[in-house]
Amino acid sequence: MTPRDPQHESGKAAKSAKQDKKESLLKKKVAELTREDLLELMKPLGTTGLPFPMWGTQKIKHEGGAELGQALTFIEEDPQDGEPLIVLSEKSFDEAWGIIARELPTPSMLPIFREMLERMAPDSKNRQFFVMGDPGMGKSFMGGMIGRVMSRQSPRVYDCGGKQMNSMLFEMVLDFGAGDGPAALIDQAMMDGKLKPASVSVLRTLADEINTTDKKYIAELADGVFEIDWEAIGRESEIGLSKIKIVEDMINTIIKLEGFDKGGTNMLGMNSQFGPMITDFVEGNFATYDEYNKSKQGGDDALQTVLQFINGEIDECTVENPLKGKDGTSGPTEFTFRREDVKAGWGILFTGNKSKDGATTRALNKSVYSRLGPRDLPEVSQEDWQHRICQLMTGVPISTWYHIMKEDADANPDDFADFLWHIRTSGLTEDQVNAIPQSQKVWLQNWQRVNDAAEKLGNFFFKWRDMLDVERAAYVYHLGDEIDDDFSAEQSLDFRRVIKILQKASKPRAKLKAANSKTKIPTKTTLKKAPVRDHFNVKREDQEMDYGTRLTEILINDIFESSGAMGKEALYAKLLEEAENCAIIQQEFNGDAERSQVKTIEQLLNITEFDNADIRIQAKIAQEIFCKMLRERHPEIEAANNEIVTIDRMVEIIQDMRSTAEAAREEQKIAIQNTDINTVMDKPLAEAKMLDYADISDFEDEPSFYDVLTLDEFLSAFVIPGVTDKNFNGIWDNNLTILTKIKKYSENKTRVEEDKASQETKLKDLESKLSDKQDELNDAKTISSAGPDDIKALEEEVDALKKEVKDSQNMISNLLKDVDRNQAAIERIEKDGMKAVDELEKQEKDTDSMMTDSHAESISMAENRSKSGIGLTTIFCRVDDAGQSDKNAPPEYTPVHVLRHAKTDRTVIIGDAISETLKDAFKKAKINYVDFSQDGAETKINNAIDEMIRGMDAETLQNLNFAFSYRNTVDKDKLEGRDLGNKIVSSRKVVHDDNDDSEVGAKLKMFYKTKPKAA
Amino acid sequence: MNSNIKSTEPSPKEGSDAFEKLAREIARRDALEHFEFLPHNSKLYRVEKSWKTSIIKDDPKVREVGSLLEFERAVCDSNINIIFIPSTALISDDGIIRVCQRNAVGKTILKEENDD
Repeated sequence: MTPRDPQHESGKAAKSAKQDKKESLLKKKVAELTREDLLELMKPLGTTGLPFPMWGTQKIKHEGGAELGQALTFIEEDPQDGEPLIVLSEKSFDEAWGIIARELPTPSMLPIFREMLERMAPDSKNRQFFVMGDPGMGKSFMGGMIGRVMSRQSPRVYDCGGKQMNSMLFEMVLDFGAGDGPAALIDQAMMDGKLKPASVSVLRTLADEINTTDKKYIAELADGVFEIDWEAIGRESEIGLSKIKIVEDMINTIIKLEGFDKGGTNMLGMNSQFGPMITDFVEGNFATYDEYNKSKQGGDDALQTVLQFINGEIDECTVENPLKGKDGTSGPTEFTFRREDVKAGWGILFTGNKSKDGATTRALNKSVYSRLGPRDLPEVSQEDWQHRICQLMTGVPISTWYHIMKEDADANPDDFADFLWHIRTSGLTEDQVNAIPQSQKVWLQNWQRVNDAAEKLGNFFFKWRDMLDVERAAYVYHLGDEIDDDFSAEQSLDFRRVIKILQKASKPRAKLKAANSKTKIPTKTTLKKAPVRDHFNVKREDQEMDYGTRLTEILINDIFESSGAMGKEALYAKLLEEAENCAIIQQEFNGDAERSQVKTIEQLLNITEFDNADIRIQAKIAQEIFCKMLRERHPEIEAANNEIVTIDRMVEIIQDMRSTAEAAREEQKIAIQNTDINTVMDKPLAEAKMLDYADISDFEDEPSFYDVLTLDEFLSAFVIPGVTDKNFNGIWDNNLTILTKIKKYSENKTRVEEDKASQETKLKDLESKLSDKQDELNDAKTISSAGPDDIKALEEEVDALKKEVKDSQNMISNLLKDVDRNQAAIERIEKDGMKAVDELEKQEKDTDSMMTDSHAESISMAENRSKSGIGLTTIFCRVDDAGQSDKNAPPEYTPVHVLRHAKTDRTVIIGDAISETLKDAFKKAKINYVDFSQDGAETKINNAIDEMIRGMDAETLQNLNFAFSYRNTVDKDKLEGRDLGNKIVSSRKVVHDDNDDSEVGAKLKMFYKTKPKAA
Repeated sequence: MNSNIKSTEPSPKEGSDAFEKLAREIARRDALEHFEFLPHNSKLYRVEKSWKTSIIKDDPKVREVGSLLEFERAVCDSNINIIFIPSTALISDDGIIRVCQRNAVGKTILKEENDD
């Protein structure tokens, strides 16, 4: 009895299924397949518009030429006239393609997959493939996948380890019966706790007899309760002939003891039957023979001619049943494999481990080698690791699909995300789609980050595996003293180990506090009360938010446990160095600005629902945050979330925000929460406009103090998904550059005017001298008795003076042009703003002008235009005076400093104390909010800044200090030379109606609520 | 009551079905977030014994199995996608892995576990 037996209940169910007709096609002899049958069975892969990844030898172009190499490319053939790959499948195209696209073999295994498919073509005589490789690299997974694609039946994977392979042809089988047979009765008795003690003893003895060190066919789960693998213990091909006889005797004893024998009709009898190899041939099944070279030496001698039939060398072979007639055994006498009986679905994938893998692996017989021609798997590449990591995390090998459509995916990331989701769900039932974890959905939407993280992890695992290769460890990594054959085999790094690491990271676990953290002695009250945790009310979103952090911690621990903890200090150091290079852990400060912009896997994979690209999910989160903050402001609100703002309305708002995000910087507008309880239901968001005292243009209507945003109102703009991006664009200005440039042109103009005035004085003097000299010359010529030499000398002096006058006039004329040019520049900037600045800067560059500003970089930072990606600005918020007793007290402002690193999408916001709701919202939005009123704020601010600019050069911090000073007044006497943390904390209370002071006022930038325009 | 007038209110039966459907959905979604990889793309979800597991096993789309024999039959049944293993079943993790290894189908397996 097997579950696939048509007599078995599930087999009957399968036969009655709608797919009956299609199933029969795989079981139909190839010679009898009609044109229609073939059209239904053959599914093309790699067709126009739907390419299929493939690894192969290609001419790879590079600078200076081209050479042959291995590359990941794709197949895209015309389905009619071309030669796409063909897979035989009784499933629909969507189902078959979906399985292959999701479970795609790693790039370096793709050629083997391709060849196996080619050997499964209806007209192919060679219907086997033998692949050899290291354990844990996905060989049997590929075999299972091919079976899953082809058939609706469960594809069989036979573990050949320790087996007599001859029993795959004919085997002794014990029939334990169906639903009411002895196996089910014994199981039920155990579940009911009614199994007799004598039977329990027999089962214990049987377990001792048949269990091996690797496999427990009978496992005692609790006292007298056993898990029995009936499917295995009833088959000679599973446990061997001698053990199956013991099973027969002992189970018959239990049947009698329990009274299940029904007068002998329920007693077990052994029969000789066709083994799996013949059954699969008859039924047209695809099977995988796993770890073939771990089967018993000499146990496959009867298979040799069958292997010749399988590989197409011969078209007929007969095998005899050696068991027939022995001890009165009944069963078939022989079986003949005939070419004309081959079914469309029949084929075998043999897998084997490299012979160095353990003592149980044997070298294959020469005859098996020549008949099956095993192919060695290539060494696993970085691309393979990346592929498998993406597959494990998201269910889709993103990296391989991305590789073949890179340019289009980069240009249309949303379309590529849709394509990935199509792969993830293709051919699945509604229930299966619903069962896809939310985290996979979010990761697929953020595919760039997952792909980037998988690349880094892939590079790291590749290097790690490389270091464990004994020869490479010695000659490449100089780790010969630490890595020998035993250590290499013991620590082998394969996909299974990575699965364990990724799996461990998916579950939340307790975090270790930082090494220097302090804790207090528990109080007596604490000691008296046992801590209580409500397991069913743990916040789920936090689990996803920290996935990258957990993965990093687990990985670093694994590195230590498998190297440093085992005394392999040099390997540990090398692995940590590589972990830094691959951005698994943050690189320490080394002055390399480029490195600091590389996101670590922690940053890449700490993805929350906030990052969800699905607009409805963003809208749902936005609705929750929005309503929570509104209720905090107006506790009297009783309306439900949907009554305040519907999800559909939120979707519209987010779409609107996305479309206007780019223009926000130019418009200097942000979207804030509408806190007016009377209008919030119609208009959930309100608009706030920048008011910058550094702006030289005239204000249309200067707002009143009470229109200026408070701290809470301003900060609410950065915690609502879909709105944040726009607002991060809207807070920057170009006014500092404009002011600085105007100041420079004015100073230049004044300097030139002074030069001109001085030159004009000089000209007057020269003209006077010339006039005198000319008079002297005239006198000499007419009335004086001067000789010709004297006259000549005078004439030369006059000519020289005339030249000087002319030069001076030219100089004045040039200076006048300079004055006009500077004046024109000022007027252009005043009129056209930044556009004029850009044009003038270009001209200055062309003419190598001396106008270059030595503080250009710090101004760029203050305006978020720096090539480093760093931006720092300060917004001043109104301090609500509602509770203030002195109504005549001057209005106060509190600064909020926003530090952004656009390239890594990191943000630190520094400001006054805020509510827990806002704090929580910032955490979800992955914005680091530092409260500058708390104890030790200086250190926390400095740490946050250091973290942001880690790896950048020392000038970056200096420029940030300058950038800070453009918007804040720093007390030079007290704070000169102090760090930024100190400056920020000290200046937190400086501003109070100081905007009358021209120096302070010119720095103020704030946002005010705009009045709705009249209809 | 005029039989031509159809009530817009759900009947008690419909209401109960809707509740059960919702409860099943909540229970299943809660259970299906963290899984362990099993051979050949099957996934094992460990679910703490609670009202949610009671609802899951009553779902007609879910096959409950008590022994390895029943488990293997469910794994081989192409009409079953979700298998529920109650805490009382005679099934160990090793047994689940072995069955999934030799039957290369991707199933969703929910294993009920006691809180202790």
